[in-house]
Amino acid sequence: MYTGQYPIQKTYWEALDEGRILAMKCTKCGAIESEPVPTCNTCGCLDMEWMEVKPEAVCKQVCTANGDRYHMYDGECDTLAVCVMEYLEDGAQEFYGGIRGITNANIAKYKAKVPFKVKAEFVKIKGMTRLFWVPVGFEIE
Amino acid sequence: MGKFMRGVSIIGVGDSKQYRPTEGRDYIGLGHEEVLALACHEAYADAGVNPRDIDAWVMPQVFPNLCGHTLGMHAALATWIGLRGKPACHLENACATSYVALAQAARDIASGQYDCVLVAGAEFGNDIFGPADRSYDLTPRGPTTEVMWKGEVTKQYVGRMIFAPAYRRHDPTKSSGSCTFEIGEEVMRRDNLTPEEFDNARIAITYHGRRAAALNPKAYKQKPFEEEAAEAGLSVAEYMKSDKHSPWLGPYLRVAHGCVHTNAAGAIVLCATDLVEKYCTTGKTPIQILGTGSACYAEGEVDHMSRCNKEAFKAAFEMSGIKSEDIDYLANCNMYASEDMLAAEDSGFVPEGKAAEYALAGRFAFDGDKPITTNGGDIHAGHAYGVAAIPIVAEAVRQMRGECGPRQVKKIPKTTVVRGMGGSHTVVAAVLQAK
Repeated sequence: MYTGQYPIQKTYWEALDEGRILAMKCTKCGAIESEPVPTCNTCGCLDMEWMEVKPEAVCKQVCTANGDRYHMYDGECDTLAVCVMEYLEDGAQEFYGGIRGITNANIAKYKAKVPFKVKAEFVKIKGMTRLFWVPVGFEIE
Repeated sequence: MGKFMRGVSIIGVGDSKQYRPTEGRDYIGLGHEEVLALACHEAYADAGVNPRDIDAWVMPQVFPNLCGHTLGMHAALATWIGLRGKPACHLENACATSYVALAQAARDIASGQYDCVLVAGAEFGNDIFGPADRSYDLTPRGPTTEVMWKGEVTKQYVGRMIFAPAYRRHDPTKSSGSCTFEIGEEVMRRDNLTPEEFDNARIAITYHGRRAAALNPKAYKQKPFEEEAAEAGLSVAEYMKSDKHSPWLGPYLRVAHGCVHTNAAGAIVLCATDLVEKYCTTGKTPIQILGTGSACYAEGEVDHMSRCNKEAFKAAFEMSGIKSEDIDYLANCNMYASEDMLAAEDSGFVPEGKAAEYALAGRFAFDGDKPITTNGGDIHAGHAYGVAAIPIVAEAVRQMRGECGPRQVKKIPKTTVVRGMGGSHTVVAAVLQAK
């Protein structure tokens, strides 16, 4: 049961600064909340534990982002694909993650490669570490 | 629940401490998400309910604009409390918001649409996000409570939000923030009090409220007046009448007699009374909601508060089938001390014209025979705007279960009347009864 005994989002962001990805795992059913929260949304358990996720995932869908999302990175990222990812861990669930460099002009090439493995890329933008993903085995042109 | 198809019961309550994050005293490094989660976990554990069994969520909140400028923020918060995918509604009704939310949740169940509903919210109305744009890194929004209560600033910060622009915002007879003071005049008129007698009554209410808050570890102000007075080298009576230590903000309001604005989160779990055994696995006494009532008269209408009170109480009593003499405990929103006097008389908890007498005799205290709001109330425990009802209702539930320890009232209440108020324009009443 969570009583406020430790900060959750602050811990997550500070781990990203160190190049680590934290999630929370249900102590009862093993489901993973990739954005750490203290309650299991699969079985309703109130006891979650921290876990460090391997910085690897599978990319299952690729879609270029529309213009307004670029502002979320303070103009530091001008090409971005929003992708459906899944960590390789047992109990993991799908989540959205970003791959830089994919545009409407080159997206067909990468859609054809789905599913493909990706690894985490930690990028500091204006003092805040952001989590992106890069393909394993090929490069975005 | 009157004409509705079935009864509704409260089966679990949870609330955070009332605090101000920027003071660095409580919940350091936590954002409103975490504080909401801990309040919900407390309520889930209190009921023994699995959050995945909850059908829907009503989220009261007055200031989503301060919590990161997120609209409909229930969606983003749902995963924190185990409600991913569940239907939810974000509700705003000034400081009556959580009282209205409770009544809505009760109707949602009584109508048969849902079996189990959560009322839960987090209100961080005193602060805004700091430069890092994160909910755990806050900076004070502006004036402190003490400054907010003052006339000119009230007009700027509170008045602008409460008073409608058509006729009231620009008419000082209807929008000066002094309606608090007109209510004081109304109480004096109908109770035939001198200003000094009225002041003494409010001092008595405030004193006993702090006694209760001193016994409530979740209250914002826990230091007894005895200690504050001793530090000032005065007796309690001198201290509470001192213009230096208890200054006036207007004709009938001292700083100490007004609520203290806090940040907090809270949660209440409700279910159909005939399904209590399914949802409540702790065996704790379910608290039935027998009826609710509400009335709205805009501030700026003469005697708006007592008109709201009387109509809301009448509707709630008719729906529940109780009479004034059945009330054992009055769980009252007290944004200022005279509100306890007004509510006690308007509900019939005490005879009209007698509230000052009861107050001076200490009969409204937690150890008196006519207890009102024994957690310290909005004045001492804290007033967190859109979730203000939750600690008041949680206290009522705990009193009715006999769980309040040193501030437990003498006779465990069977019937409680809850009264909430917001914006000086909306009153909600609810009748609770232990099953």
